[in-house]
Amino acid sequence: MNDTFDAIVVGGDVNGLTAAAYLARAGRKTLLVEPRNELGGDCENIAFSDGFVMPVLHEVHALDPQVVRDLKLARFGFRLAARDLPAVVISGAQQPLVVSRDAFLTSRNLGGTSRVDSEAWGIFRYKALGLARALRAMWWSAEQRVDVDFDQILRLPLITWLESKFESDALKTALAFEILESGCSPAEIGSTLQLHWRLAQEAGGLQAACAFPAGGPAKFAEALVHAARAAGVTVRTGVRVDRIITLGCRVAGVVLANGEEIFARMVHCSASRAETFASLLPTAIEGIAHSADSTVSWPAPGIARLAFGLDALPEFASTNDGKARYFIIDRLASLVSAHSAAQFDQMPDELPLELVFPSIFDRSFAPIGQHLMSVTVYAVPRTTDGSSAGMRESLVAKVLAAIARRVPEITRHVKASHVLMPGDLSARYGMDATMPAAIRLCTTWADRIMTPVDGLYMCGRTAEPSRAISGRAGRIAAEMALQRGLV
Amino acid sequence: MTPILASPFHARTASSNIQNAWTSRNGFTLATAYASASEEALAARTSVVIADISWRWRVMLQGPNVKVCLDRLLTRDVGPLEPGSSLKALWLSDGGGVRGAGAIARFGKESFLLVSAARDARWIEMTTALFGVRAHDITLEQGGISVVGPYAQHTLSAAGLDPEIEPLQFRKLFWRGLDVTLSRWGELGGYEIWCGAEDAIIVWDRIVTAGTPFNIQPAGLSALDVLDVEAGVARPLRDWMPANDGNASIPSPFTLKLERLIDDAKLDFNGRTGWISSRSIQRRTLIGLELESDIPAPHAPLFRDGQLVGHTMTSVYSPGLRRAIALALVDLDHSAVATKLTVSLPPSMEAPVPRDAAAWIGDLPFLNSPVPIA
Repeated sequence: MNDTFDAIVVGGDVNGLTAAAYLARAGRKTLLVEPRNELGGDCENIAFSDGFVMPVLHEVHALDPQVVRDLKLARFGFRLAARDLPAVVISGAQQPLVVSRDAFLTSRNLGGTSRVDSEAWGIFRYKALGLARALRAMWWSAEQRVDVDFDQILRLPLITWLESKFESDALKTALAFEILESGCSPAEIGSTLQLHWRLAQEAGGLQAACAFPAGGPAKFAEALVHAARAAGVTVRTGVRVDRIITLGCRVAGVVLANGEEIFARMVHCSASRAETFASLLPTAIEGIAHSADSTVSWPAPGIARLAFGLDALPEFASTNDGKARYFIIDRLASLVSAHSAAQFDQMPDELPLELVFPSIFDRSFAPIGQHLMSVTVYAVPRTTDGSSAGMRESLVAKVLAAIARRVPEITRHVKASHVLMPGDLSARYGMDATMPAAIRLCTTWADRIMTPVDGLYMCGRTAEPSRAISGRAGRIAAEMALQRGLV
Repeated sequence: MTPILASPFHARTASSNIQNAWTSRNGFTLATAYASASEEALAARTSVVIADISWRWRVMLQGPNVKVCLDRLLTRDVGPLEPGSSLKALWLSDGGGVRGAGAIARFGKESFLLVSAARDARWIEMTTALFGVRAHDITLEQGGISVVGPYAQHTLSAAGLDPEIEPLQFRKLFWRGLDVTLSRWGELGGYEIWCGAEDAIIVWDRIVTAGTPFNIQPAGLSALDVLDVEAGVARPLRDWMPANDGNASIPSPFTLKLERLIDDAKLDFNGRTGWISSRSIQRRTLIGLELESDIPAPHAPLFRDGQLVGHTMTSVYSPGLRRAIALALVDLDHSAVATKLTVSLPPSMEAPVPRDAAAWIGDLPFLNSPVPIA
């Protein structure tokens, strides 16, 4: 069957769904095609072992509030189970440090280790959040006009910048953890700007907050699916796009794996730019020099996701009643070393861990009386694919050993586990392309979304300034395409 | 750094180069002129000349994806080419600027030879790597001579070669024990003979012996440049700088009057979008100039009514026209045939004070290339 649409969206992840919904709302006949049977990309839950459910991603901090508002996602069941998870740093031999939205409480917490930091925290937080808000225009809208000078924070690595602000290693570690999801090292040029990107984001109406949707990020994706269908998007799952049809240097549609041709004046692709041009388009269509440049990649560490079913909460989770993100690493220097090792394909001696207990604010993630401990392992070699069974066990053991150093009894409480290695994540959800933070955060939306191929737009996660569940790239890609008025 | 290379014919060119006048092109040491460039250029129009063209860059492109690769690389479609035939094409940077020009010859189903006056190895390597095509530079493995003039066919026949071959055609031959390729890829109306480097001297001697009754003489690079300019052929690196930056949009095919080597109907060649966008903003074009002087004026500014309107590129004395001529780039508004311009002549021993000469824009080519007599 050959058919014609105004727009085709390739990929049903959060950004693909968002782009499709906006295009359909604007009256364009829109088709969304997803190779998997499930929509939502990595915003999904995976059941394992007798009632435990692992959210592939265990927090949100960068959802585009305009997307939530415009698509009326609350009507489709989206709500937050936890709005503002503070950070708890468990490092070295010190007492855990809680860094929360309440500047007074945080200052008081810091007083035990550093009076200087305790006095500096309030002003620091006020200024950093203010600057981050001023920089929002660079990341939240296509126009990207910014009236502040951010040259200093662009050039300074985060560890240097933090060194000039604070004494407490735990506090510096807490702030450094906030940038790890982006793949950026705290020692990298642009890492201070990366932190300000993170501080600029919003969750549940709160700046720099970290939230957990009821039902996990999967529910956010589910709400998007409903919104897209309600807007009139035609959705086809279990269907792979074999190639994008081009006439010279403009798109004309797609060819599916079953040979079906579907024509459209615009195609939005949520895969990475590198993957799109390598797999779906004629070789070198974007130009020989451009193609040769894009084969150069920037090494970045991978991320692993683990979930443990527990029959009791570990002791450290009593801090803040388990309603927090727990950062585990010995000290800041270890975090930097780990990133560096993983960047160049070495398993670090010490792994930076972020723990969240979703079952505390949403019972659907564990059987009654039991708990789910969701762990993000930052700084794992990207090439770790777990193809050897020993690799998974080894990672589980290493993670549990790291937690056990703080809570020796943890191993007794583990009843089940599930592991997603970096290779699993890229095989399931596609590879993330990487770029140095300084370039990524300063590149315009037009450069990230537009392509040399007329009518082709990149709307996926790699079109975002930083790796996060957002929807913003999908919204802006749709807006740009509609403004060009091809259809 | 470009290495210093000796042509496979060097032993013969050296013994003929009584003036010991040498130059280099593409790294090869070549005779500038054996006697005088004017005499040699004139001989190419009245009898026959033999010229060493081993410096022409040649790269063999092979593999199952070679056709797809050339579709992306070149501005014309090689699909219709049969083995034994070739066409002229350009390759452009991503921005639409001309990187190179040359002949693409089909040797087999998955085998093509690219021949060009200037090397562009990095770009070709980059492109072939993207498509998984093998690129093998055979420039140093072979020698090449050009046989040009009204008696070129007679010379080849006398040497035992069948000269019945159309322009842009070529044939692989077993010529009295030697494997050679006889081609007509050049712009000067003659023939080219390509051979293994080890056979070069034998080939040279055979052609010189066969051409002696027709007064064959060797022609140096300067004589070939004269013939080029008379034919209106501008060469990369000699006359214009190729677009070395991957995104450059100049020089444009329009400016160099090379749009005849672009197939408008071909949608997918590299740089097409940039070329089309730049068409409407081009300010200059290639023209031919006849100077009111015997003294050539290369790379000299051109004026009209005191206003700078362009510059010359290569300029030579044309024995056929008995005056200096030049290829030049001028502003479009001043490019009409018969427009009178003023050119600054370089100082010389005979005329040490710089002076101006009048120059008229003429039709290109100034002179048609010598046609071999059957």
